[in-house]
Amino acid sequence: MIIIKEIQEALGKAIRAIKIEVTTREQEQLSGELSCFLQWLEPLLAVDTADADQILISHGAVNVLREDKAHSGDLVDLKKAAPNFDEDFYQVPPIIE
Amino acid sequence: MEFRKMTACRAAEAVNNGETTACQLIKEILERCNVLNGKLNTFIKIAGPEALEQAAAVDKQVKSGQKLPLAGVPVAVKDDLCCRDLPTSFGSPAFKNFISPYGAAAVEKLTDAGAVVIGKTNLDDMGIGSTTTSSPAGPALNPWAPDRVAGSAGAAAVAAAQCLIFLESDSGGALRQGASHCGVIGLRPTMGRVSRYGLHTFASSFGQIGITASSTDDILAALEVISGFDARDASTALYREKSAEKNAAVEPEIIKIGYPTAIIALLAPDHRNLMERAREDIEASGFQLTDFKLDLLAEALRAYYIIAFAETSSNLSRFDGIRFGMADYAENLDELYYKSRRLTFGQEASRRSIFGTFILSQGNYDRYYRQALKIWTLVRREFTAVLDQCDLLLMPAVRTLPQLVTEQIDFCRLYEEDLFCAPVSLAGLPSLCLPVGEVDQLPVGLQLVGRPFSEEMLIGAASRIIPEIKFPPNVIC
Amino acid sequence: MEYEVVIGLEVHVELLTKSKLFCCCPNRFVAEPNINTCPGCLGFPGVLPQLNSEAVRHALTASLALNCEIALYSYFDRKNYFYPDIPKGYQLSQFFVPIGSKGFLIIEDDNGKPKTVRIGRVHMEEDAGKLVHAISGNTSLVDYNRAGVPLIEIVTEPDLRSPGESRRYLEQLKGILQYTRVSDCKMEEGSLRCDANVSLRPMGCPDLGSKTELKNMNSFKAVEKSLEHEIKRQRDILRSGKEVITQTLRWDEGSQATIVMRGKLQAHDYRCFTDPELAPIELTEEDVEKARAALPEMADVRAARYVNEYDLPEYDAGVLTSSHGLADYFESCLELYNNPKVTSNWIIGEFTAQLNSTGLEPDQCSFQPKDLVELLLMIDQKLISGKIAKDVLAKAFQRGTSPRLVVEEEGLLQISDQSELEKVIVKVISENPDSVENYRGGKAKSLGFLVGQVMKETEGKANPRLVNELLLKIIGS
Repeated sequence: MIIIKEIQEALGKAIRAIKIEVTTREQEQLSGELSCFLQWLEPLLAVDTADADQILISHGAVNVLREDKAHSGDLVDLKKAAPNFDEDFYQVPPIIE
Repeated sequence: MEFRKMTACRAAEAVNNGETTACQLIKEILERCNVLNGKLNTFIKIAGPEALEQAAAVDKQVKSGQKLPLAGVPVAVKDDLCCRDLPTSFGSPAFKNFISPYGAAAVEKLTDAGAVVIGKTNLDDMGIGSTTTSSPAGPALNPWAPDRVAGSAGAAAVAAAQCLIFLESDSGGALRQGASHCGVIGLRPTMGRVSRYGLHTFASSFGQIGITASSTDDILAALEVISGFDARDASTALYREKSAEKNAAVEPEIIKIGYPTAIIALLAPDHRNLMERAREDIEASGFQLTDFKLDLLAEALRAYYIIAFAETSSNLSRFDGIRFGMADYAENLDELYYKSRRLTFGQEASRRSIFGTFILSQGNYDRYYRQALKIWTLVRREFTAVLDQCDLLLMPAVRTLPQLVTEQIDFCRLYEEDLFCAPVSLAGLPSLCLPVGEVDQLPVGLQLVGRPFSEEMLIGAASRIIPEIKFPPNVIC
Repeated sequence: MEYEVVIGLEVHVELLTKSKLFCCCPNRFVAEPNINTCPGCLGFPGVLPQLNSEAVRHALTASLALNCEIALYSYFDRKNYFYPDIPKGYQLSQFFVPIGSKGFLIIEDDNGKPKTVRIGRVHMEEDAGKLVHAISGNTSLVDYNRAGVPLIEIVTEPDLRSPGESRRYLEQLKGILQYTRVSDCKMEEGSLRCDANVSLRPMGCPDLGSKTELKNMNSFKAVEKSLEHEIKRQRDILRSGKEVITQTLRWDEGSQATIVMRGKLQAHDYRCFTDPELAPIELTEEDVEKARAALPEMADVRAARYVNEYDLPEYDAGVLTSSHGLADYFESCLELYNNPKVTSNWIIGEFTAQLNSTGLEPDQCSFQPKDLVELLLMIDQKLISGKIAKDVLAKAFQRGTSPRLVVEEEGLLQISDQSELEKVIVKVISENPDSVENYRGGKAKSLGFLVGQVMKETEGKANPRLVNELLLKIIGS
C-alpha cells in the first residue's frame, strides 16, 4: 500500500507535469480519489504476468508507410482556430531564455 | 413519412425510387428532431440549413440517375467526430466555435453514399464517459424514461427516431451501453475496419467508430459504406489485407454461441433472468450453445482503465490553448497551459489526465502500466482460446439500468459499469449490442462478440435473434 | 594532476525528404512562418500520423553506413512534455528501439592513428517548431514550419578524447551522411546540429566524472572552440579542488565563452510509451541486405579508386571526393571525356573557383558536366587556347549558356589559319626590327616578346604554338 503522504506528493508532481489548474480543495479531493483508484486497481497487481509479453500496439497492421510526396496545405482555416495568431505567428506569453 | 417505423434502407429506397425526395425527408425529420430535442437534449447542434443543402445535392444526383445506397438517410454524428463546415465541440466548452477544416473519413463516406448529416449529438466531457452527465450541455435524456440518462445521446436519437443512423465512437462501451439503455442496435467494429481519421479519441488503443440504428439491415448498409482502407489511419491497413467474408451465410445450425454462465451469475436477478430467457430464445432459433468462462474479466477492466488513462494524459496534451481552443490571458507560459487546459477539460478529463500521468511516471510505470500491457496479452489469449471453441460469444452489455439524472455515482463504481464492454475492447474484438427485453419497463441489451473482422456474422446472427424493436412509449411524436 | 578528457556527441540531422515525417507538408526551408503546416503537424484533434517511407529508408541507409546493427522490428514512442514548439504535447521518437544501434566510425586520433568511435544508437524522430523569443515585447512567437521535419539522432559512446577528435568525427559523419544523400548537413542552416557531453577524469581512472552538456554550437569550428573552452574551465575547477557542476551550457559565439543555460541537470520524466496510432516497422534480412548493397561508395574508397583507376595524384583524389557533388560531377564528365587528369585540373581549378564565388553546389549550377566537356574538347581541337578557355568557363558559368555559345558570340575562336597568322607576323616583324635583330644576335628572350606582340594583335586568339613555329621559320633562317 502506498501511504497517503506519498500519494499527495505524487499527485502534486503529476499535476505539475500535466499542467491543469486545480484548486487546493480539488487537489485534496483528487488525492482521496487517487487512493481509491489505486485500491480499485489492486486485483490487477496480483496477476502473475511472468510469461506474458507486453502489447504495445493494439491494431495488428505493420509497415504502413506513405509515399514521400509533398503538398502544401491552406493555412487560412487553420489559423482561424488559434486563440492568438498575429503577423503569421502563433503567439504565446513571453519566454525568456 | 412515419419515422417511427422507418428504416434507413427503406428511406433510401423511397428516395432512389422517387417516392419521396431527400429534401422532403430531411425537412420532416428536422422538424421532428427539433421538437424532440427540447425534451431529450440529444443534439448539441441541429444543422438545418446545411442538411437541406446536402439533401438538395442528393436529390440532384438521384435525378441524374444515380442510385445512392443511403440516399437521403438522415444521420446524426457524435460531436467528437469532425465534420467539415460544422462546429465540433469534442465535449469541451473551449470548442464552442471550432469549425474543423477537415472531415472525418467515416462521415464523408456516409455523405458520399447519399446520407445527410442533420446534426451533432451531445457527449461527455472530451468524449470520455458513457452517461453524458459530464457534458457541458447537460445530459441527454432517455426517451424511455426522461428522468434517466440515455448513455449515448445518439442511441436516444435513434430510439426516438430523430435520425435513422447514428455514427459514434466507442472505447470502453459508450456505444454499446447506449444502445442497451435505449433499446436499439449498436455495432462496434474491429479496429481497422473503419478509418478513424477525424475522430478525436482520448484512448487511441481503443477508440473506434461504430454504428447505431434500429435495424440490422441498416447497420450492415452503413458498415459497408464506411469500411475500408484509408491511408490516413494506419490501423485500416490490416483490413485491406484480411478483408471480411462479405457474403458468409449465417445458418444458425452451424454457429456455436458461447454462453458465460459464471458471468451471468454476477448479474442482478432481473438482468440474469433476461439473459437466461435470451439463451433459451437463441437456442430455440436453432443456434448451438456452449458454456464458456473468462477468468480475467475484472483484471481486464482494470487494465483497460490503466492504458486508457495513460493514453488520455498524452492524447489530451495537444489541448494547450495555442493552435486551437481557448486561451485565457497569461503572464507566462505555465499560466497559459494551466488556465487554458482548465478551460478545456471538465472533471473527468482532468482526473484521467492526472491519474494517467501518475500511472506513467517513474516508480509507477512498471507497477501499473507495464503490468496492464502484460495483462492485455493474457486477456487476448483468453478470448482467442474461447473463440477457438465458439463462433460467437454472448455477453451482457450493462450491469444496471441507466442511472437517474440526479444520481451522484462514485467514479470507480461508474467504471465498474464497463465490466462487460471494456474487456471486449481490450481483446480487440467486434461487438454488437442488441435489445433482449426490459427490466422495469426499460430496455436492456446484450452483446454478441465475434472474431476479428467477423462483423457480417455478428449482424447476420443478430438478425435471427432480435425481437421486434420497440418504440419508447413515452415519445409522443 | 593530469586529466583525461571524455566527450560524447549527440548529432541531429534533418533528412532529405520531400515531405515531413508524419504528414505531407513540404520539408523545405521557407522564410515565411507557418506556411508548411497542416492539421497533422499542428496536432489538431482527430488527425493521425502517416509515416514517410523515404525517412525510414534514409534512417536505414544512415544506420548501415555507420556500421550499425539494424532492428528488424522497431516503432515510435511518445516523449511527453509541454513546450510551445511541440504541437501534440509529445514528440514521436524511437525511444525504446532505435532502428540502428552498436555502430562505429573510424577516425584519426590526435597522433594520426586510426581510432574507433562507437555509435550507441541511430534513431528517427520528429523535429520541433521554432520559437522566436521576446526581446522586450510581451509575446513569444511560434513558427511550426519545422515541426514534424524528419530527423535522425546519432549518439556516440563517450569515446572521444579531444576537441580535435570530435571535429574529425563530425567531419567524417557529415561526409558519410552527404555521400549517402541522407542529409545535406548544413550546420549553419540547422540541418546538422550537435550537442556535446564533456567530462574530465584523472588519467587511468575508470569512472566518468561529472559532465556538462554543451549546446548551440553552430559550426565545426565552434564545436572545437567550445570544447576547448569547456575543458579548460573544468580542468581549472578540478585543479582548484572544486567539483564540476552537472549543468547545461550554451556556447556564445560573440563572447567565445560558455554560458549556463539550465542549472543542475534534472532528469526529466518523459513518461514514454509506445505510440498506439502508428504501425510498427518490420524489416526482413533481405530488406537490410538490399539497402546495404545500395549504399554508395564512401569518400575514402572513392578517392582510392581515383588514384588506382585514373592515376590521379592523391591530392586531386582527395579534393574531388571532399564533396559527393564534386565527385559525381567529375565522374559524369569522365563518361563523356576520357582524360581524368585534365578534367580534374579544370574541376579543382576554375570550376571550383566559380562555385566558391557563387556559393552554389555542383548540381545547382547550370554549368553541367557536358558543358565542361564541350570546353575541354574545344581546347583539344585547338579552337581556343587554354587561357581563353578560363574566360569562357567563367562567362558560361555566370551567364548559364554553353561555352560554345560564348566563344561564338565573343568571336574567340583561335586563329590557326597559317596565312592569316603570317600576315600578322610580318606586320609585327616590320614594326619591331630591334627585337628581330636581338634575337638573331643570340637573345632568345626576344622571341617571346615577338610572340607576345602577335598574341596582342590577335587579342589572344592566335594559336601560340603555331605562332612560335611560324616566327622561327620566318626570322630564324
